[in-house]
Amino acid sequence: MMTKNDWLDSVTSTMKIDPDQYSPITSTSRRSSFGYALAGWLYMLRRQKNTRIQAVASMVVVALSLWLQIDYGQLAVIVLAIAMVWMAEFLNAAVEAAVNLATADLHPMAKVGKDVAAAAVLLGVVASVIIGVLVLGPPLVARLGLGG
Amino acid sequence: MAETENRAGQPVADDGGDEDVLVTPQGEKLDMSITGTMNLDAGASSPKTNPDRLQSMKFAVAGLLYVLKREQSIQIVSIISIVVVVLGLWVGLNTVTWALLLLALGAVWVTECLNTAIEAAINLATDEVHPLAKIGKDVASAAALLSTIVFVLIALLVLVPPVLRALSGDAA
Repeated sequence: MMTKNDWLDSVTSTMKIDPDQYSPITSTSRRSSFGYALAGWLYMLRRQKNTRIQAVASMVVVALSLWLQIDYGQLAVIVLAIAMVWMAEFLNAAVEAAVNLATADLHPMAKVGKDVAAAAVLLGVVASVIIGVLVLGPPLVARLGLGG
Repeated sequence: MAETENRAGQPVADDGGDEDVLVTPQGEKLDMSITGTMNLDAGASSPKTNPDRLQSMKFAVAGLLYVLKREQSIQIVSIISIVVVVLGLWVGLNTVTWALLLLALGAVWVTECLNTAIEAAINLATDEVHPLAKIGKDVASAAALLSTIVFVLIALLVLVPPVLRALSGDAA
């Protein structure tokens, strides 16, 4: 039987770990962290074809939203939906790099890691498409006069 | 069975049929079809993965405490979260706007935590300087940057109009 104290000890155990003890390369300056984030962004745009397609699609959707003059709240929803795909795509690429770094060999857990990260992207895309249709569909139909 | 090579120069078994199978150096067959991944047993490769729900929750809280204590950016995110929630309560947002704002804020917390997790995984994989390590860390932090920018955008979109109204209402 676990006592209350044991539980508290185990919950607080992780925060007592000092990362500097293991990883001397972790950046501490905010400015350089920001620079690394931009570097990662440029890498994705340059090396990942999907990210470039995504960039174009994002701009098209934002332009469409502005053209349809949806309200600020709806625009916020669209922006969030687009961002969700970008985030998933970036984290997927990061996980993929981490897995490739861990082992150059084929390994079942490498497959699980990569496939599950890719599933997150798929999930983000499906949710975003549904949100896009829900928010932009009605005003688009009205604007095109398809409603009759 | 025809043997071909993949880009890493490792032999790749080709059954010649429509079955897509790769072979690991340990001789284990990896089914590359859609149902291949779900048939893999994580417990077989990593015995420390835990199936207990309560235990999982404890680890999650432990992880949250870790980022709160060790990650400077999470500390700033915490302060911003409190400020935004106070601001939202002050101007009185409707339910959907609250949902939007909290979703955007949640995305910042999620990407920061995943960024820290990926960084730890990379540091664990190697303590040497490596191009893949740089890619992984930089791209993960790009996701965190992205979620922060989008949160600021959304906060501006949903908070600025009611805050301006509240301010002009005070002045009148």
